[in-house]
Amino acid sequence: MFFTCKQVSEHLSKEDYAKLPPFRKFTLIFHVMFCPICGKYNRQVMKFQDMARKFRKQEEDFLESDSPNFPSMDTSAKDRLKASLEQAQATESPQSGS
Amino acid sequence: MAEQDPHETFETHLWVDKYGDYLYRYALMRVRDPQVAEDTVQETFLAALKNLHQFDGRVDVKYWLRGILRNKTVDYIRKSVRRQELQNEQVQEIVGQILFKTSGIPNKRPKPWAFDPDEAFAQEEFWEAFKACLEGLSDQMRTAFYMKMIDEVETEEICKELDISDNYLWVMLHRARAQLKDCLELKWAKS
Ligand SMILES: [Zn+2]
Repeated sequence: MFFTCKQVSEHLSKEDYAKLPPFRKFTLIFHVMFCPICGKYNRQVMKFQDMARKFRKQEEDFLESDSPNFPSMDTSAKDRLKASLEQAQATESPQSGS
Repeated sequence: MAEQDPHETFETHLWVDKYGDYLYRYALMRVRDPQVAEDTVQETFLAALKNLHQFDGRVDVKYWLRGILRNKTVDYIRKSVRRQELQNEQVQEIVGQILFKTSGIPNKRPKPWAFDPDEAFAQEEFWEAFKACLEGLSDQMRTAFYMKMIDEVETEEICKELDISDNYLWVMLHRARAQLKDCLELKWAKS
């Protein structure tokens, strides 16, 4: 019925509490709200969620960037890649009638 | 109306120039080895060409390609990690320790951050440090962290794709967080 700290920390760590049935979820939130230990642990896990969300945005900027300071495929690698794609395309879709 | 050649509609001849670097960087962040990154990007393009008919247009081609690439990098990590880093008994032991630490001793709470995270998040250099710390994790830990935290893949799906148990993933994530925190404090708190 009610959660022990052990069960709470397990749910928080695995971040699977969103899938709990509504009443169970409510009891968990209630426990976290009033238990100082679980509350603190929860804040730490949430900080990482927050960090990951912000990092996702940063990563997208990094992937999209035109800056030469970031790693990119060199021209010869790109040419090889283009050649292999062309070859694959030629075998994938042979021109009908020719 | 004549049916269009899908390759033409998708402008596949422009893929390398349009998405090459984007995908290469994405792969590099996850597998770290430049050659492997290049190979997985190539495999991705080839797989995409073969499955053009499966593309439903609900997302941008770029994200569709990225999704294929994600699976390729996870495949690579699963195969390259020959042996799990931890044995099952160790996993049980660590699970016990985590529980003990978080709930066993009332006054032994997780240590607060040595710096103000919110302030750090606003600075670009912090994310450089974060990226470097992510790279420092073991392949399996980094992959687990990426899948769970960045790609938001369901727990069961991660366990299936990495071929690990629920508890094993939990331990990986817990350790990844702890290691990242230590690394960030070393790299960031001092500056
Ligand atoms: Zn508690």
